[in-house]
Amino acid sequence: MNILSKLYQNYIAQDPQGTVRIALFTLTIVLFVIGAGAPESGSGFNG
Amino acid sequence: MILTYAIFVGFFVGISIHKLFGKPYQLPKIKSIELVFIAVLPQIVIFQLNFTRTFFSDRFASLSLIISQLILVVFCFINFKQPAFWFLTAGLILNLIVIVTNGGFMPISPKNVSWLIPNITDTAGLMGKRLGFGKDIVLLENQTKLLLLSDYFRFDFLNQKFMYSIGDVILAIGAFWYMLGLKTELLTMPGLMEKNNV
Repeated sequence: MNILSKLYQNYIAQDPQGTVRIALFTLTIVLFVIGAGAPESGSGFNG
Repeated sequence: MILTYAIFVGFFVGISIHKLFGKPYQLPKIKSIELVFIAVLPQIVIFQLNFTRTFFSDRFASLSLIISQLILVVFCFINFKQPAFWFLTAGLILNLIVIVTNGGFMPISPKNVSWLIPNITDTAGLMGKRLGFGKDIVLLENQTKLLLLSDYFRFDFLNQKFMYSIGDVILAIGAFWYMLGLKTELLTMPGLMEKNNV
């Protein structure tokens, strides 16, 4: 909890717009690699 | 999983580098992000979510996968000025080529299926079929076109097992590079800010 509070005070509270931008672009890259990549972990297999 | 690791490691390394140089961590601007959402959300419904992926035929799933990845190619070319997107584009196109040439899914060999999912004892029944509801199709190595671009390589570390392709590795490099946020450093160089319209 303390770490989260520190993170919030040091980063998010100081630059909320920048944080939203980082979160949005990170989400975009996460979605991109989900869509573009095809590593197979067997999770799609149900039996 | 390799791709998730690349993003997380890139993020923490990027933050550390920026902290070292006393600069705020920022990511380079990505244009047309709506294309990613349009392309990938259907993939999540068709391939990922347990309660929806059973509704779709293999033919529909493969067609959706190809269309989705073509939209991602357009997205990549829109952002091609960024070095990270050179890798993201290359990885995506390599995966797309091997998917298209093998009937709309990523090929995986029966022996690798047995290695990945040990409780499958009879892989003969899976031949030529999609592996569960995922993006892979089970094909013998001699029936696979562009074998080295398929899910041919094994990852086995800390009880995590998966198969990956060369395209996945190049995508991971691109994702890692992007998450470093190094373009910010370049943009802060005098003269480049105006040139890049920032």
